[in-house]
Amino acid sequence: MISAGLGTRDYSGHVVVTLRGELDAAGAAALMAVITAAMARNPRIIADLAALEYIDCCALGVLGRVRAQARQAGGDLLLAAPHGLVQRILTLTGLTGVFSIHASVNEAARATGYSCPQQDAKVTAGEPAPGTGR
Amino acid sequence: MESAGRAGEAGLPWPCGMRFSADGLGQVRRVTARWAARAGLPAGRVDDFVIAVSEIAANAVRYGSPAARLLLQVTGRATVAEVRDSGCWPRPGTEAASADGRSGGMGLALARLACDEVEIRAGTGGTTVLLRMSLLDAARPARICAGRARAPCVRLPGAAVSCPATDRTEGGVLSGLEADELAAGSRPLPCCQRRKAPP
Repeated sequence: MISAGLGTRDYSGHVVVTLRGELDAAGAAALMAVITAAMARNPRIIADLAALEYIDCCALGVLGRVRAQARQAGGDLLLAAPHGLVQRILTLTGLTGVFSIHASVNEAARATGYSCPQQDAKVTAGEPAPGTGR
Repeated sequence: MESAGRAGEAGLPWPCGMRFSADGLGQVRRVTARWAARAGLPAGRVDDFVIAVSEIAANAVRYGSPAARLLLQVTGRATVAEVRDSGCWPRPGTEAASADGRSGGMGLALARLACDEVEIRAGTGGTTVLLRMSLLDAARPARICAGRARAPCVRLPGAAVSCPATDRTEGGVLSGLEADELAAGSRPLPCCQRRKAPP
């Protein structure tokens, strides 16, 4: 389950989806719904993992599917600020070589070379201004 | 939920048992982390042990039975987590055909990468998975796991298959795994997931 919920915000031409707490199979459907809704607006997605303490294989599968769909739509799904067990799971599975992973949301946004100034800092789900990672 | 059993060896933590269901996986991780640290695993190996236990515990309540049991104990020179449920898994294809149809067979594969040995015992009364992490490695830094080359599975008597997870190098068994393969569960089940049918 997701112990503390999900949030989305627009940032520099991207949709940032914030994952918090512990995410396992029970929360995978909610994650898919939130990201799918975000992707309908913009396929350039950054998953902010700075507050994510755990992610299991099922939820990782959701991120994998979203990444594939986003790329098909001309965007991508980037991961920002994984740490601790989440970083370890990405390493163990070899997914560090599959996903584009960055130290912070800001760095992820810069890495794509895309920005949409009109959307900058537009908050859609009560999120604070984009942080610099964990 | 958490309970201590009889005293373990001198200087080692007592066995620790708990029942859990799908909404208790976070508690499983926290109990395992605390216990494994007391058992003497260094931090990096505690993390790997927690990942392995969490993934197997999730499989137990997802594919086995709504409630399952975790027992943590030191046996010989290893920390051992025993995850027991009253269902029957893994069957080839079982995980790929899970509730969301998407999870693939990744949990068991990840457990194999994370800990030293995975042993599956299946019988008419349920499925038991034993996860072992050697304490003899305690002086070593956390290994960078995942290796394309790995030790062959050891088939134990009866229905069990044991997979020592040695010869690990960076880059990983799963490094060539495309994210859509992960998502679609199209990746073949690893040999660890094959087992003989219960007698």
